[in-house]
Amino acid sequence: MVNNHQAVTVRELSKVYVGRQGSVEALREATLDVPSGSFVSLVGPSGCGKSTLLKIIGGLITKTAGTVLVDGREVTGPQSGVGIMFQTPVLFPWRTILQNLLLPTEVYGLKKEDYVDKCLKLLDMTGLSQFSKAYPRELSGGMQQRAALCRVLAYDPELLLLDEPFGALDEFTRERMNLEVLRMWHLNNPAIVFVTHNVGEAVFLSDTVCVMTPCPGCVAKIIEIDLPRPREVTLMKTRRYADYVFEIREILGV
Amino acid sequence: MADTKLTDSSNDVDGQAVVPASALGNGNGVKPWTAITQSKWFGYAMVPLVFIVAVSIWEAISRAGMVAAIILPAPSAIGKSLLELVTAPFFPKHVQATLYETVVGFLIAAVLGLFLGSIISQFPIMRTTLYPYIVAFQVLPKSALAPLFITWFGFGVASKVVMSAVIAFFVVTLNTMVGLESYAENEYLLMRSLQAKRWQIFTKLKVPSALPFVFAGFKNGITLALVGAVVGEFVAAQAGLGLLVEVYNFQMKIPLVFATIIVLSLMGLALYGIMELLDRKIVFWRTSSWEQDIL
Ligand SMILES: Nc1ncnc2c1ncn2[C@@H]1O[C@H](COP(=O)(O)OP(=O)(O)O)[C@@H](O)[C@H]1O
Ligand SMILES: [Mg+2]
Repeated sequence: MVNNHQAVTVRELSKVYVGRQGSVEALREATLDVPSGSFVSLVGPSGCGKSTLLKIIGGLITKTAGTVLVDGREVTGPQSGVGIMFQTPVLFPWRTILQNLLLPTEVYGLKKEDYVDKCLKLLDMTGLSQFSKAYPRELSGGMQQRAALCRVLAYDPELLLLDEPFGALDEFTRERMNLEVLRMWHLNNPAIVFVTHNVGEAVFLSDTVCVMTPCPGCVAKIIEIDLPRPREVTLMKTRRYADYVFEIREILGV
Repeated sequence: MADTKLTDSSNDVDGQAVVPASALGNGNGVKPWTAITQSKWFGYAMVPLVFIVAVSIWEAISRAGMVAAIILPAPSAIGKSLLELVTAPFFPKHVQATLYETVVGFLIAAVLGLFLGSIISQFPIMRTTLYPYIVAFQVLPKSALAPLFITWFGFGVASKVVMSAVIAFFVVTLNTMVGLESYAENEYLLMRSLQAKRWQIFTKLKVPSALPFVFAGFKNGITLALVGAVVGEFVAAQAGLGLLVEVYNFQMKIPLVFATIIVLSLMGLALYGIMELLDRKIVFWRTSSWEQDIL
């Protein structure tokens, strides 16, 4: 029944938030597969339940109905081997960049010394080596987000959940960050679930694009992106890329 | 290794952090007078200036005989009394008493406030059961309890320590509570995603997030602790600056009353200053570095 090659299996997942102003249906019978090592994007307008889906996969919030398996196991809470990144960098202002990167070692109870070199190397690879002793406020938004990316990558997640990680950044920075994510992905090959509201970005990065619409919170269509890898920026000029973008925009009605 | 470098920081598009602040203007189009009035040193210079002007006016009014000296003594008379007071052999004893009551009272308030604030914010059951009582106690004018404390704890320092702690603990409790809940949702979710245990979330996220609030509570609390000590001394005491105020007032030595009040406010200022210093030292990340570059 359970496919071993699926990093994430979502079946008829529903979520209803019950709040003071009544209940909000955020997801309705969403179904999705994320094969191990693949890059899947969730794309859709704001409020269609992307973050909700991601948080349920991450074991951070409860579901209302349906099945969610990560690595073949029912999700009952936060799992090891899963890294999460949000739209905000979430760096603690009282910790230096390196101390922020080492926060997971403290929580996991790992030896800090074993990870210092690795963290410094990651900072170096993302052009932040001279900022390891700086505090987050001394870095620009893009640099902070890169540091957050280093923090999540330092612990070799098998599944990366990225919730509009570069959505707050300008277009140039975002494009470059996306390329960094792809490079990192090729190095370690975790499965990635990438939330975005940018259709072009979703097509450019993904193996599979899961198009979500606010019906509310339905998976409207799952589209395999059959474009060669590694992906270069020039890909965005090609006809096939444009066709995918057009197809998804049609579904979303934009 | 160079080929694995994914970005080149030399053409860093988002590298606002490397733009020197001095390149952002400072000068062009700013009138010299504005520059002077907005400078930090001008502000520092204004402090004594305002003092001198105000005191001079006050002195002039007193000398002109517009107000009876018994009601509002001249600054010069107060100055003389101040000198007389601080050189008096009994003076250190009274300062020591008030200082002791305030500091010990504050420390008790701080410990109690941190503890109550923590358990109330961390355990819903504690909030439901304890919080109503704490609020009910807070709305009670606590100076009304001072005579009772004297009866229970005697004429010595103990009753004032209690008074001071009782007045100061609520603000610490409240700030601790609010502070411990001031973290952002994503910060909490990050900790959760790392499978952090409850106490790890508490020590690594909630406590540091609470510190700016806690110190705001401490700063408020230390001044309230001084109020508590003085109120306690007013009712009945063997020593203390509050007792001196009371005695001098009774003896109609009004300049000495003013002098004692000045000593009390200097004491309050010093205690507040220590808290402020600790605050800046410990909550170093709060001082916003961008502020210094704003024109
Ligand atoms: N904690 C919550 N309580 C109540 N409603 C929520 C909560 N979080 C999200 N929602 C609602 O669920 C819907 C989906 O939200 P979300 O998953 O954040 O969408 P997206 O990430 O696609 O923008 C929205 O209508 C939103 O208002
Ligand atoms: Mg979202």
